[in-house]
Amino acid sequence: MIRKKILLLGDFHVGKTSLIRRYVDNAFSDDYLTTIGVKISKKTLTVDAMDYELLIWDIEGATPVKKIPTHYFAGAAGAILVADLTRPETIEGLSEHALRFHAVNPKSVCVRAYNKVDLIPEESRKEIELPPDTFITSAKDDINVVCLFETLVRRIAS
Amino acid sequence: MIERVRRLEFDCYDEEEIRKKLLPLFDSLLLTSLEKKGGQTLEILSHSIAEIIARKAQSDPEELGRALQPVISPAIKEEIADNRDQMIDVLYPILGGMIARYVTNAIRELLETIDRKIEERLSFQKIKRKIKARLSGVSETELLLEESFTARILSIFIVQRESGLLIAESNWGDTEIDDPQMVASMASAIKDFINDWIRETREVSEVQLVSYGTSSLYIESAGSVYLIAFLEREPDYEQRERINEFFAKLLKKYHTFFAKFDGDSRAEEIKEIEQTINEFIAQTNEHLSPREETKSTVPVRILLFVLMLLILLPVGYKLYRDYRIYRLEEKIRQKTALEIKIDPEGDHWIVSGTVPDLRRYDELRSVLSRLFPQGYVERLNVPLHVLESMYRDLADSVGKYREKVSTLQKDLRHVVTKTEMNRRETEQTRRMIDKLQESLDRLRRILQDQKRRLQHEKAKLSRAENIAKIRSIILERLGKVFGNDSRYHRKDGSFDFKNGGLFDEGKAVPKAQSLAELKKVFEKYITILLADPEIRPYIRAIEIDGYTDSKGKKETNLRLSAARAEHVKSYLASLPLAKKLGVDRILISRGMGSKDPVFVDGHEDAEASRRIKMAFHLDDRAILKSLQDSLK
Repeated sequence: MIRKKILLLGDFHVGKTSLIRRYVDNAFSDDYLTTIGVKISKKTLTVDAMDYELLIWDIEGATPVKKIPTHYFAGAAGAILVADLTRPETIEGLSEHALRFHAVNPKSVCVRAYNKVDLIPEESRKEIELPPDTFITSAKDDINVVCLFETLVRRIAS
Repeated sequence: MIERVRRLEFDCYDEEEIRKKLLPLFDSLLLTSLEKKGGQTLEILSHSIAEIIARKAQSDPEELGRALQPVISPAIKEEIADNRDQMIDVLYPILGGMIARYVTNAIRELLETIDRKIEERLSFQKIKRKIKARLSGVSETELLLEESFTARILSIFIVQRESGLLIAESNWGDTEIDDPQMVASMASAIKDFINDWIRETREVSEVQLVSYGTSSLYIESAGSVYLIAFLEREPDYEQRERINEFFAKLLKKYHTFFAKFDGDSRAEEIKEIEQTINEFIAQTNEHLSPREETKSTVPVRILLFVLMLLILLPVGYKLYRDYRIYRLEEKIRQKTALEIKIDPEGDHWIVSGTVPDLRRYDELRSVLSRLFPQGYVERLNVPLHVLESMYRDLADSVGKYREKVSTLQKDLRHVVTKTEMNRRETEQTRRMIDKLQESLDRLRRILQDQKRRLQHEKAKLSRAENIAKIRSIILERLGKVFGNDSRYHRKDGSFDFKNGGLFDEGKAVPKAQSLAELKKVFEKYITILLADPEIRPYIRAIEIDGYTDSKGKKETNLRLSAARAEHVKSYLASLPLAKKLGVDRILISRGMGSKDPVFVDGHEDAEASRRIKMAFHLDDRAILKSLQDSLK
């Protein structure tokens, strides 16, 4: 069993907590998120015949009056950067999140999730431009959630 | 070089002079050798320097420290800046223990100072301990040691500092922490959160002790890992020191493994670490045993306690009572500015003192009523002129009250009189209402009686009217049945069988073929007249009249017509319906001779003239009697 700490980063209300709720086996109460700015959940999975245990740190999203607490970033093997497809400014903000993350963990890897695709009409989804290692996801309709986490684990392993 | 030294021997024999000339040469020689890293020179020097430093450290350590400080301090600073965590891992086993010992000694000195100060005062705990030591034979020091027992360790976690990943864990006995990975991560997050907050507010580096209920989390950080010990209660300084020493040993042995840990739980070292932790927990906890009290001391302790209680109770009660009196007097003083004395006497409180005027007296009484809701005995002195004034005021008040009472009595009498009058009026009204009610009932009964009578009279009149109109009613009913028959006469209700050819000439017996028609008409006729009980009593007779043609003699025709009527009457009376309706009793016959012959176009139709007529007769007497009866 290999244990890894991974982070979920992104602006406020982009659906980080919903993605985790959809995916994990076990989690602490959501109250911790509002109290100390982080909530930890656990997921056990097997990727390429190797058992992994992910300790997923759901870091509270940034608001105009509250910055992301970066002291939680240390020691993370990877991060999922989450944006809301219905709010273009959250997609633009992912670069800043990636910079902050790599400033603390220069050797770690990131994947991106363009979340809430269920709010986008079917015909418009094909027009979404996806950078490398980016997935369109929906916690509500369970689209690409498992794939997102497994891809991150593969990137960490490689 | 050697040549230069030989020449020096001849130039000068002054020792000081020679030293001055030789030293630069030696310096130059040594420098050249060191720059070339000459193996022999370095070996000689390394032994010598080590010995020199050792000797200097013993003889004059302060001078050595001053000499080395400018070199060593920057070097250490540089190393810490580059490899902070590794340096901490290496230095912690030495410095951590040393610092902990210094801190412990300092705290111990502080505690001893405090103890000395406490000893100078009366301490119940100390007295208790001294008594216990005397009775049990155990020294006071041993008892003190027993009081500061070690906390039981439930679990120990070793957690990677940056990631919060759990590297190793070990639990005591059946103790098990659910999902230790998540607990370690969450503890790491909470620790980071608190540390971050502390750094922002105060200059303290790390959170070390978290208490929850009676249990505690003791956290000791060093370099790349930290230790979390879950304890049953807060650990004392000595126990913390023992945990720190154990942690230092772990770090010394595994600091490389900790620094390179990448989350792989399969590493062999983890099992070794967990085994080591397990042994430490077992070693710590096995020294702990439940505290047992010496049974023989229990009765003595109880006895002593009771004895002390007996001595202290009266003293305590007196102190309490005096204190309460003081508090009461103080309160009165604060609220009224009066010097009032409070004394207990039996179950009562005696309040004594002097009150300057009545206003203050009222204020005092108001305060006293609040302070002594159960009551009190008043022994207050009021100056005489105040009492006289009070008496005058009272007299005035009594006069005013008397006037008021007199007025009230008058009002009351008036009210009583009014009430009595109202009561009588009410009684009269009630009686009148009762009488009116009786009259009303009587009138209602009369009206009902009148109504019944009227209905009866109306029924009688209706019946009389029907009796008076009985002929019209009968004719109307007959008309409805026979109205279209040319043989029927509407005016008198008779039936003339003139079209039938009933009889042969000179014969009295009717033709057989005509009897069926005769029967048919007769049965309808008598049904209308006799089947209705409203009509039947007024039918006196049904008459069958016989006729002949005008040929022959008058007397012969009269007999023949009577015979014809009689034959028909007999036939009709024999019919079952006639018998049922009792027609035979009222059926009569009569011979009319050749009366009323039938003419057609001015000539007699002899066949038609040989015929019978059927009519009914009312019973006028019965009608008259019924009318009389109904109108009675």
